[in-house]
Amino acid sequence: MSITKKILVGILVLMLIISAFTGCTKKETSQESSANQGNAKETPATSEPSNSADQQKKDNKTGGVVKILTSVTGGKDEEEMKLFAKELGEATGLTVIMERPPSDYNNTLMRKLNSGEKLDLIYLNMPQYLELVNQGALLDLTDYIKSSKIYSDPSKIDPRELKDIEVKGRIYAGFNKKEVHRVVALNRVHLEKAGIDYKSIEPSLNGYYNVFKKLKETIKTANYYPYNVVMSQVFDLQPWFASVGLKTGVVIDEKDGKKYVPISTDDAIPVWEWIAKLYKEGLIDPAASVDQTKDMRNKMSAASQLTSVTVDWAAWVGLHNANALAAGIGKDQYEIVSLPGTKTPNGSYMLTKGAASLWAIPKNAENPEGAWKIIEFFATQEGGVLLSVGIKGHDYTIDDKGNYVLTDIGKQHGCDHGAPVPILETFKHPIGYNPGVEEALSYGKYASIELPIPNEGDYKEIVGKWAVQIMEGKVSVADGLKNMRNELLSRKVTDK
Amino acid sequence: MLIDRKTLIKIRKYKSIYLMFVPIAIYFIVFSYYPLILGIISSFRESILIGTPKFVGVENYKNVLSNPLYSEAFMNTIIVNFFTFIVQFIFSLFIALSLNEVKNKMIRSSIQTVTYIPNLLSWAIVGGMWIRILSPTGMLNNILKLIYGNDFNPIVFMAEPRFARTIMVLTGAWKGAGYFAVLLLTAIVSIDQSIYESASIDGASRFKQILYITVPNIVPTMKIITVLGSMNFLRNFDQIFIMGNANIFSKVRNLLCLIYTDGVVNFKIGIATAAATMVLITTFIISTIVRRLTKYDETFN
Repeated sequence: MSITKKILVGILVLMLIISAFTGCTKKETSQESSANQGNAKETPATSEPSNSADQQKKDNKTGGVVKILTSVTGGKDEEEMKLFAKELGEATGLTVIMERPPSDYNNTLMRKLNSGEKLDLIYLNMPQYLELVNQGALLDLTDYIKSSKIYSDPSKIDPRELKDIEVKGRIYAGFNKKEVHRVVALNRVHLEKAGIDYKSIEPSLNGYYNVFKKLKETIKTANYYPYNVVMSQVFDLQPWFASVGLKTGVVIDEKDGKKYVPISTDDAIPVWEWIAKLYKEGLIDPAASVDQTKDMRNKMSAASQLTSVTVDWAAWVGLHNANALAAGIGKDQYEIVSLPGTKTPNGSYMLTKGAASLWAIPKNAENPEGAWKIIEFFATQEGGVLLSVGIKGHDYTIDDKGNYVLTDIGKQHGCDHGAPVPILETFKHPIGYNPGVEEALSYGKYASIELPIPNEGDYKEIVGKWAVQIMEGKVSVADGLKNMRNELLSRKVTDK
Repeated sequence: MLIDRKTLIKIRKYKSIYLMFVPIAIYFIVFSYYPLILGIISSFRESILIGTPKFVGVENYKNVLSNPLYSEAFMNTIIVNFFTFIVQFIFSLFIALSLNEVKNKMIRSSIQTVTYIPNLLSWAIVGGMWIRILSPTGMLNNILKLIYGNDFNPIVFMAEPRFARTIMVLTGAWKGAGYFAVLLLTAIVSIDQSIYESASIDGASRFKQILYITVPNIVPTMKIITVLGSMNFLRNFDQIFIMGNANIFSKVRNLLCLIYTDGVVNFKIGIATAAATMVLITTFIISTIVRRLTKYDETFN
């Protein structure tokens, strides 16, 4: 064999060995890696065997390692995520490893569970929760909840919240935060320019129509429209359908137990006609048919002010105001206030509360006890502070008088590290909510969740599509609703 | 015998060279074929994320075939991607032939860069840009406003089912044309210049030279482009995922978007893998037909 051939064969063998080792080595996630590095810093590597024994002893005593896959909850960047995990670990006596996929959470969650990776705690939205319960992939937490001092205490956790996530009488998750509701958000400065006191707006379709008319006549900014909504995904029409007493989303008919969509029935015609009239008269942004939530919020923000009325989460009323104040725009130039929309025929209001964002323990979790400890911690005052205000010494400090003071980083993070409003009923916000939030939260008594369904995406797509057609006047209201009902039925969103 | 003696002797003789293919083979087996086989197995199961899946035979395939959304998505995929390919091909051919006529090197490379850049950008950027251009306050509506005056009501192009496919075809072709143009231009510049000189002496006009010398000489490259295009025929996901919305889904939502929704959003792995397997088989059939029609193998053997 020539020398060249020997060298080639040698290189090839080396490549094969490296390939084999690379393939067989357990892939270390960045979070694991960083967590390990973090541990290495805290516990300098020495040859003394007692160190690892001490660590093991500590882990046994405190409950071991909890691996969390998170979506919105945690630090805002990788560095802060480490601090968050450390603070969470110190508060619970656990070693916490938190991983947040940089994008496409659903995909990552699916791949990790499907590949058999053992996670102790996973973040889920309501449709994902229902599907995973259906697949038998989650640990039944009903007994944990019954024996928990926090979760079984109605003064701490509202039993209605628990009822909302019950599946056939069993509960498979704990809460990430308290879900708030959507309210009608209004630009007070715009309204006052149009000579309107927002508190005196008549809570009817006609009342709001007059408001939009006056706004359109007063504000002459190019591309300005008084009202904007994400019509293609039906975010959020409840404050208007309240006027005919109809609930948005899917509802189960008590008479026959069948699912139907009230806003697709003929009872909803007056509201759809009102929406079509707004569009025809240029009172609703034509981009409402394609705008996403972020577009709507941009138009509502202090920086653009291209719309005056939207329907958005209570927390966003405060965020708009906080962002404006942070940019040096005072209340005399911009302020968002809120109202509960139109009155129902029986004189009340109807608002939509968000479907729960949850923490669940997969059935193959290695440390379910540790995971439950974290779920419970998130429902305490301290857990609420971590989830909202953030990390001590990083997002906030406590002065000599015991007052919480936000750092510059904390101000940027807007008291939101996954739960702007924590789940604990008795939670006392140490900083105070953003301006306008308390008024918006006061309408919570009118709010209820939409019925959780696994094919929520189909509901939004179908209703959104026909809503746009009706709004733009491309089909008559009656025909549009008929088509909407037929398609909902054929895609098995409804039963009748 | 599968391998004859002569071939075996050859393999033995050049075994070090053949051995060099082993890491590549391992790479493809581990990262392509193994997941592919797992996917095909999943398509016969009612897959669950944790626990033992149940074997359901061809039930997932039946569900896919009986679902009208999949039939609609199949038609959308074929229509949008076929026309995208045609427009992209014509557009790129035009760019390549025109660029060849530009003698100033700086201008030529500038035009080439400008036409190639969209291909380098992701659909998240390109899609977002076009959504903005086509929005009621976007560039196109502003131009229409200039033409028709202030009474002009802006058109929400992205919410109009009648424009949906055209928008996807044109934006898709616009993004990809630069890439095809580079391939074609490479073929054009390698044509022997003496043929053009002879034609010129014989009095052939520039147009006739393009028609009778340039185009016939780049036919093999056109075949490669056509076969490559056919292999990507059912694989357009990003564009529709970024630019689609509820108003136009019935006209543009394609197979991969539905597979994504079923598999990733709704965790229905069995149905998603069954549909993905069908996409794979269909791609194989389409590319085989295209290879036969273009006589690809005859050209390159």
